[in-house]
Amino acid sequence: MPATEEGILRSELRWAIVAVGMVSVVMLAVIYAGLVHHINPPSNLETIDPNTLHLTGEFTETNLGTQVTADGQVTSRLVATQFAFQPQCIVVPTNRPVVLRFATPDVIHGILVTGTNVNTMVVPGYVSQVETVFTKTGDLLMPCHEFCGLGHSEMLATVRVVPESEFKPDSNGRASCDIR
Amino acid sequence: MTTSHDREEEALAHVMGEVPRGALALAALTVGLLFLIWFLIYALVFLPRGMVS
Repeated sequence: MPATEEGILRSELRWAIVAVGMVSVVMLAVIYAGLVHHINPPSNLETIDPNTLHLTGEFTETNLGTQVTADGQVTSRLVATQFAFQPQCIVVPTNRPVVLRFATPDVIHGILVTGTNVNTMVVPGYVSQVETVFTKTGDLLMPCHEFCGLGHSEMLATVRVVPESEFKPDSNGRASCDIR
Repeated sequence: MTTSHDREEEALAHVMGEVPRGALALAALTVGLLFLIWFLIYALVFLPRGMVS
């Protein structure tokens, strides 16, 4: 490869082809994950009044935790506050679609469930929603991953994933870590 | 008649012909390794963690 103008131009062109090829492979991988494995960024846009969410509506204390509706949909609702999740533990079944819904009355928080792709911000004024299917049983740690104040490092909850045979909601369709 | 200056010019031209090849090989190796690690994490960590939307 001579260090002439033409040689430099040729190697730059080849390098550009390599770069475009790599970006194309990454884009195809993202599309493949989205279409085949249904791994997409959570994109729920829903507003809620952070001043009253604990008084009225779906995030009142009695409505928190896991609930199974008549159509079999499993939904878990949590409130993220400085510096704890309410409830501290939720129970969900394996191999069933689960909807996780989060709201906060104070500052910006964030959650992730270890070992899964569940990961979202929890922003005052909005309801964060993530749909997923848990495939492995066990207690998964769910820490706050957005610095929210001095107690941030103590802010964590547990997602208890149990086999479907052990997932027994009560007559109201509610399941908690105590009674499952 | 070749002078010492001419010989230096010749040696320099020879080196300048080699240097870009080495730089390209180094760039290809590092970018290739980076891309390989990205792909391994994508295939062995990201995809098995399951669906989310």
